[in-house]
Amino acid sequence: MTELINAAAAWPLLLMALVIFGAAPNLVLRVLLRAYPKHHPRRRELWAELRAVPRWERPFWVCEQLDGALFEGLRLRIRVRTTAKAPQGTSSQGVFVVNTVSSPVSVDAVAVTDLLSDGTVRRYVVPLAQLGTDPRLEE
Amino acid sequence: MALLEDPTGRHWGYDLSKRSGVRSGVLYPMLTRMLDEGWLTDGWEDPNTLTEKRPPRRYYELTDHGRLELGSVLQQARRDTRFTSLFSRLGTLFARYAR
Repeated sequence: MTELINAAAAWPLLLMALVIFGAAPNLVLRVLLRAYPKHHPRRRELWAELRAVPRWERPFWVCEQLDGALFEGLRLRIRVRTTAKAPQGTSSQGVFVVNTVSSPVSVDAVAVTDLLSDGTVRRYVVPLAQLGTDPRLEE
Repeated sequence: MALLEDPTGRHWGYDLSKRSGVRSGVLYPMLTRMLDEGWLTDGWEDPNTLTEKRPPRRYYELTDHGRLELGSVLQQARRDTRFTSLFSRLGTLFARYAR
């Protein structure tokens, strides 16, 4: 029993516990949240939710966010990146379809479908906060 | 079912995942889909009303449409024989919880 108490009080173990249940969940979550597009509300939401999770549960809860970050966040980020630029030699005809009801991203952003001069369309996502200032909508 | 326990109240992600037993990695995409379908509305806590020092959390509220849709989904599930044992077990659980 004494050995067990001594082992528990050993500083490397204590340090490891502090890291696992203290700083590590915050750090790992910050990295995971980077997978979501910049203005995605999930970034703020998960960061705020972490405070509601009991400290001993935090490492497990953060691990649970990994699949969400990979399959939801990273997928959205890739989609935003691949559809953001218009193909070379084309220009916008100024015809935009802005979809807020079934936006694939969130209620804080809108999906924009833009008709280009060569007849093709490009789709991208604009955060509501940037709707008035996004240069792609002013072309 | 966790949402319908308090159909007019505000629900938080972690709280919902605890009450429903659904992993948060599954729950958040579900909530996003329900938001897109118009079953839920969301909002952020007012930072001025917070007593502790923490960032404002995002909450979800059922819309009238969502209450109707979820109600009908639950009704269908209740009628489905595959879920009979589940509902009887949940009924016992809720009764114990209510006491």
